[in-house]
Amino acid sequence: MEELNIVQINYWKEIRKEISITFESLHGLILLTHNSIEFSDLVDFLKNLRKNKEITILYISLINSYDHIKKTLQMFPLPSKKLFIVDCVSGFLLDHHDTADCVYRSPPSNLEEMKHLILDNIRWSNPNVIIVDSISQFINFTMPTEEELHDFYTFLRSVKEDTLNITRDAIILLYDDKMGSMKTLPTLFTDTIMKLEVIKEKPEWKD
Amino acid sequence: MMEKEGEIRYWRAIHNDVDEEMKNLDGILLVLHDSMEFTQLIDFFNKIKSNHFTNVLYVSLTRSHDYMRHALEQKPLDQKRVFFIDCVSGFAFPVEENIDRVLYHKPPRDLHTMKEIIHYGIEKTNPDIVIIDSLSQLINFSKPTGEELDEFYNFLHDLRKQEISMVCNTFILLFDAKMGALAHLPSQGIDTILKLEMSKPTKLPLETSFLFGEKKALSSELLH
Repeated sequence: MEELNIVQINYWKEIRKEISITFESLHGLILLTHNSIEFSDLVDFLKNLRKNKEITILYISLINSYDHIKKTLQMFPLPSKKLFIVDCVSGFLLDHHDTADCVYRSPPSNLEEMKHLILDNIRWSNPNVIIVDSISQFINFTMPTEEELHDFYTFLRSVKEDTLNITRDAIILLYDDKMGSMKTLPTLFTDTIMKLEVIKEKPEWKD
Repeated sequence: MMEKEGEIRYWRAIHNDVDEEMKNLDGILLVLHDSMEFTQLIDFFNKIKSNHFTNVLYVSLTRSHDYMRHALEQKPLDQKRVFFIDCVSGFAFPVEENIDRVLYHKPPRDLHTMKEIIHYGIEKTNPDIVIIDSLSQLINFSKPTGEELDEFYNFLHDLRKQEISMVCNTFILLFDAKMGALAHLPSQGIDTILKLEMSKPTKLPLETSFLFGEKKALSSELLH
């Protein structure tokens, strides 16, 4: 007989049948965990977000370069969405000049710097939705320390208070769970937690 | 424009409304879990239709009745009377011990036999809920063949047509997903797919008052 260890069960519901309703009500602070998705998979997610509505998105990238994003969007267009990029990937490599839809910045070294990066860049882009890709650099939910959780919750609270309003109504934090499944689900201050799974392997048979 | 390859699945954490969702559950449910112990699954079972008394038929292919009975003594089920069909101890010819809540059966060799066992169990016990533990003994969604999937969809079709009734309206198909990534998740014949993941209870950091803008006792408290 196993011991009655105290564990918490995280319940995830597959939402294929309620995807439209879920995306319609996707507001506030959203944590989007995924299994190392590519930018093209994120485009698929963004297509569902505020479907057929003209919105502006600020995409703060610590993962994908502006160059890669542009190429991907040529193959997988994102109609009705205007994208502004903060490229924190290419800044170190070459001497890039900011463009109308992209600025190059050094990668933030902690969540406090990330918050400032967000605040600085919502001024010029005035987005409806902010995406941070990703927060995996700053916290590992497989085994977070109390200090990490303290910093993370402080970040969530302040970023929510300082950025969201009636027109700017969603901030999406991406988290790559390749380091292991999330043993701690940060339910405090997050309005929705979603998981996006991309299965690349083609099944032998389809419905 | 290019077509994307592969399948994208979306899941939503339902920690805020799990009790409400579970209370009103019906239809055919596929419940994926990572080799959870029976005592851990009891927490989940307790949430199902928790607002009224129910009879449950539990068809076990993985745990013996003896084991589950001991587990339930330690951690009882609320508002549920469970009838077991033990397909684990069947070969050991256990003594019936005059217990009228358990039937022994040989493990089913395929989904067709599984269906017969379920039908027999429903006739005997007239349950509100049927739990199958687990489907992973009979199908592997990591690399199912077309034939396996055909058989599985026929099984779901027959459950819905022949077994679901006004009384017996909830079928829970447990599936141990530890065998690997599920290349195929059934999209037809299943009303709800849930994934259960075990985690540590979330703790607030030691200093909590700053989070709420008020002076609270410094403590490490559980959120759930």
